[in-house]
Amino acid sequence: MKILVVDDDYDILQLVTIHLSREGYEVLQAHNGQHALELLEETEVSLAIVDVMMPGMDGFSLTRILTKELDIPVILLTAKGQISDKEQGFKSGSEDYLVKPFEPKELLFRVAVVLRRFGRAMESVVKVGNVKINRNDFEVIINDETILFPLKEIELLTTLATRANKVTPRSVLLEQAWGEDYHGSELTLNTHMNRIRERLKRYNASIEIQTVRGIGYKLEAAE
Amino acid sequence: MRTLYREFISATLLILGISVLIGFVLANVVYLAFTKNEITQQNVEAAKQIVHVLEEMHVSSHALQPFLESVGRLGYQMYLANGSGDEYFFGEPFEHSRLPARTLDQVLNGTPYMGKDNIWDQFWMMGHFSNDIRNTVGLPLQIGQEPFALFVKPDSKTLFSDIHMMLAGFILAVAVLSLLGVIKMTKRLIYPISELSEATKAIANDDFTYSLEIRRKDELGQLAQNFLQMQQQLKHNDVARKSFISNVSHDFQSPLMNIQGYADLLINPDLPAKERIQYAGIVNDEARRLSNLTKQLLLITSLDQSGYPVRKSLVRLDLQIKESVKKHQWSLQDRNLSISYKMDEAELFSDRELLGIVWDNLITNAIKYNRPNGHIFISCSNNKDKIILTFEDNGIGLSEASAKQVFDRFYRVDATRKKDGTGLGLSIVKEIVTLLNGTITLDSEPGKGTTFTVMFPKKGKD
Repeated sequence: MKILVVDDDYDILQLVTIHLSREGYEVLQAHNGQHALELLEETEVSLAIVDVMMPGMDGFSLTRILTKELDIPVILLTAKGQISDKEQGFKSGSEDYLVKPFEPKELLFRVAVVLRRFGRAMESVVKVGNVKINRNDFEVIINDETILFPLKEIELLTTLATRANKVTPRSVLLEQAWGEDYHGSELTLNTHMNRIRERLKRYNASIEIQTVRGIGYKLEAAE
Repeated sequence: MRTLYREFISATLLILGISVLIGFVLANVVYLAFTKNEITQQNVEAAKQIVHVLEEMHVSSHALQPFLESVGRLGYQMYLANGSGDEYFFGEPFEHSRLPARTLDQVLNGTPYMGKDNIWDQFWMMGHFSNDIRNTVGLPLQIGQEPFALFVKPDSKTLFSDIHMMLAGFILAVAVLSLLGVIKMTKRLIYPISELSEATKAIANDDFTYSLEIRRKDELGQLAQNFLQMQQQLKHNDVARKSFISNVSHDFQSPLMNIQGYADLLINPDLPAKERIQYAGIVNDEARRLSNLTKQLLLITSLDQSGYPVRKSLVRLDLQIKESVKKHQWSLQDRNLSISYKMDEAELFSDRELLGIVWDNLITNAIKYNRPNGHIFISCSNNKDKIILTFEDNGIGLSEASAKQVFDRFYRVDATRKKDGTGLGLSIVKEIVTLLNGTITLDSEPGKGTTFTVMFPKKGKD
């Protein structure tokens, strides 16, 4: 998956590139808006990360072109945390913004969230028993209380919930949550499943996840 | 100080002079308007009685002399004359003994003379008391068959020289006493002023210990009271400022020292991987702390400026908190914390940006001081007259002593803990909540967790 990073500060450009590459993304670097648009004439990207303050074309103008004309989701990097900046950012069409200095982990998380939003369409709201799952917002609502689920867990729960009372194979779950080219241990899946169970139990959900030996998992809704 | 004395004294003298002058003019006017006629009337009565007695006696002008002389000794001055040039003076002699022309003839012809009426050239009343024949009253009388004119005036010479003396003495006494009083009063006034002046100088030199010995109940006492209050406030501010600066420089210096030191160690190419990771982590943490510190200092100094511009609009608190939670989702996930919330829809007329800072700080706090696999619970209840928000974590909690200080600037529960805390976050929260007319309290138990409760009244004071 290709990501375009636009920043006039070489060190930040390098830093962002290193973190994104390590996570497995392919990174295109541009030093300014003009450069970015030239690169886009030859290559397609899934996401652009754009600095607001750049000489020449500023980040907002570039974002407007990227989102409105090229339909590329944008995450803005801004030095100031002021509300006017945020509003301007969203008005220009950016999906998200990050205030410098930011945590590399935070950037990766936001990138994942935006890519996911633009990725495969899955039903965004699912209701099972007394549980309502709002996939896009990572929210699980049980008895009026909203629980925020981590990324992987919401994917797993949504997949199970859309197939309530049916057995879902491990491979399907792994693909939904980690993507096709995931080669990690299946132990990780177990750990996540246990965490989901814990959460459901703590908030008195009327659904339960059962392990189906050798095949996968089944979500059962109590009558 | 000299000038103040001089000013008071010259002002007093001026006032005395002017009041004497005005008093004299007023007395003169009163005399001319009322008293003068009465006195003239009295003189006329006296003269009439003398004339009456003389006419009753039926004697010659020579025989009258002993009688008139004795009257003269009783304190009258008299001038007796007829048309043919005979004239007699009795009593104290006149200093000025010439009657206005034709006066004698008029009186001999039967028209009484009311002396003082004619002396318009001498406006001052003193003129009316001078030893002058023109100040007499003149009446006609018959002695034998001969017409005479008798001019009578009470002898006021002795009386008046005494009155003059008394008056001069009186004015002198008034002047001296007033001056003494003014000097004493000025001294009493100047003392507190010079005291205050000294105290002001002391404050200008950063000395806040000067003690004022002023016990007065007037405006100067009030001034001294206010001054003392100002002195105490300045002293307090000074202490706060100094400790703030020393805290800031310490909090900037120690992470910089760590960064420098560990960056130095990292230069070594043979450093084992484990140590390298550890050192880089320290550099990373310290840089983050510095970055936080700068942001928060910027905020806290702008909040400190009186009259921070609060920009109010309607804010959906529940939505804003949700947004804030979303912002921290990655670090929640990173630390394996779970978060849940139960929030009523709640709208408040307040400052959106400042409130955002409050939620950010409270959530960051709940994340930072939590334990692995911990929970955070946020609630928002929209009541009739107030909105109550709670931020609950089941983290490490606070001791009772720490809980009391947690809102103080630069207070950190454990100074050695390697967190990117600055000790400013909660003090900022408290300041903002107070600025927005709300209250914040906390409830904590060591090892069990902490709950912060924020309350905003729906109808603000403004």
